[in-house]
Amino acid sequence: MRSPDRSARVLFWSGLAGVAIAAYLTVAHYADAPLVCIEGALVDCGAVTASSFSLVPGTSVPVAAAGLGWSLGSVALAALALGERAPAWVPAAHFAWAAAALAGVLYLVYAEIVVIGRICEWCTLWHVVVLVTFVVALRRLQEA
Amino acid sequence: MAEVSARAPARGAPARGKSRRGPARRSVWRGPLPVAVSVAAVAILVTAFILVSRAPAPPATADDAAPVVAKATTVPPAVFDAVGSGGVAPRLTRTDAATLRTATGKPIVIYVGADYCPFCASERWSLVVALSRFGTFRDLGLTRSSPSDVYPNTATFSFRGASYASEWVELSAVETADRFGSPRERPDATQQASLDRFDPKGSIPFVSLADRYVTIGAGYPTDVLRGKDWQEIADLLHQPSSSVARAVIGNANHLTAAICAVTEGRPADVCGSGALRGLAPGR
Repeated sequence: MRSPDRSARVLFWSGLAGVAIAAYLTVAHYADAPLVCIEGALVDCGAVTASSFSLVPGTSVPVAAAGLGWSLGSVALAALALGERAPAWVPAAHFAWAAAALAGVLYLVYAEIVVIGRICEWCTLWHVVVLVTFVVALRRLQEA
Repeated sequence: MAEVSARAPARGAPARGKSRRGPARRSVWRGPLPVAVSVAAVAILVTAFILVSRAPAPPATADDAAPVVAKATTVPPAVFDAVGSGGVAPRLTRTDAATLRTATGKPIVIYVGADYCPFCASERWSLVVALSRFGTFRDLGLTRSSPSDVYPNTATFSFRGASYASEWVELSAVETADRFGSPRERPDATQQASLDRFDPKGSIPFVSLADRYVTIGAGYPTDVLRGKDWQEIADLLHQPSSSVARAVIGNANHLTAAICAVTEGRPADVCGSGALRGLAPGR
C-alpha cells in the first residue's frame, strides 16, 4: 500500500513547481517581458499571454497571479498533510481546491486550442501540475 | 478482500442484502475507477477542443457582404460617444514627418496588410468604422484570416477590390496576400516609402495617418472577435456596452481623433463629437 506521506510529498513538490511556474509568468506579465518559449506552428506563448484570456474575466488581474495564489494554497495544504497531526478535512479540502483549479484549466485550454489556436508551453506545464495535483488529491481522498 | 464483495454473486448464491452494498460501493470508490474516469474525461474534453478547432469555417458569399457593410458603416454617433476609448489604450505614435497629401491636398491614410493576418482582421474593423465617418466604401468584401494562424478564421473585411471616396481623406490600402498566404498586391511607391520610413521590418497591419501618426499591429485583442461571424460583429457594433463595440469602436475613436488632427478638424460634425474629447490623437 502506498504511504500517505509519499503522496503528500508529491502534492508538496508539485505545488512548489506550480509556484515557480506561476511566479515566472506573473513577473513576466508585470515586467512586460517576453517568455522564454520555443515558438512553432502550435506553440506561441506571446499570442496566449497577450490575449484577453490572460486576465481574470472582468479584472486586470493576470490569471498567472491567480495561479500563483492557487499554487501557494496547494503547498500550504500539502504542508498541513505532512504535519504530525494533519486535520481530517485536509484531503477533502485539497481535492476541492484541485477540482476548482482543474475546471479553470479546462477553460484556459479551450481558449488556447479553440479561440487562440496556439498553446503556451509554460501554461501547459502549470496545467500538468494541476492535473497531477488533482489525481493525487483524489487518491488521498479515496484512502482517507 | 473488498474486491471480492464487488463481484456479482455466483449463480444460486443468495441475493445481496443491505449489509453487502456498503463494502461494494466502498470498493468501487477506493479502486482505480474514479481516477481513470477523471483522467479520461479530461482527455476527451481536450480531444473535443482539438476537433472543434479544426472544423472548417464557412466561406463568405457576396450576399453576406451587403448587410454587414451597411451595419458596420452606419454606427450611430451616439454609440461613438457612449464608447469613447472603450478602455482601449492608444497605440498611435506621433511622428515628426510632414503631412502626406494627395496632389489635391487631401491627407492620405495608408493601410498595408494581408488577408491571412489575424491582427489585420481586427484592425480592419476599426479602420472601416472610422473611415466611414469621413467617406463611403464601395465593393468592400468579406474574408477570414488564415485557418492555420493564431486566432484562426477571424471574420473581417478585405480591402482587395474595394474603393473609398471622401471629401476629406484619401485611402491608400493594399492587401499583400490572400488568406492562404499567396502573394497578391504589392505596395505602391507611396505606401512603400511610408513602410520604409516607419515600419522597416514590414510588420502588418501597418497604418499611417498621413505619416503624422502611425501604428503597427492590432489596436485591441483579436480574440474579442473569435467565434463571431460578420453579421454578429456588425450587430454588436451598435451595442455600446458589448465587448466588441468597446474594442472595435474604442480603437476606431483613437483613429478618428488622429484623422481629425490631419484634416484639421474637418468635418466638424465628426471631429467635434463628444467621443473624441479627452482622446489624445497619438503618443
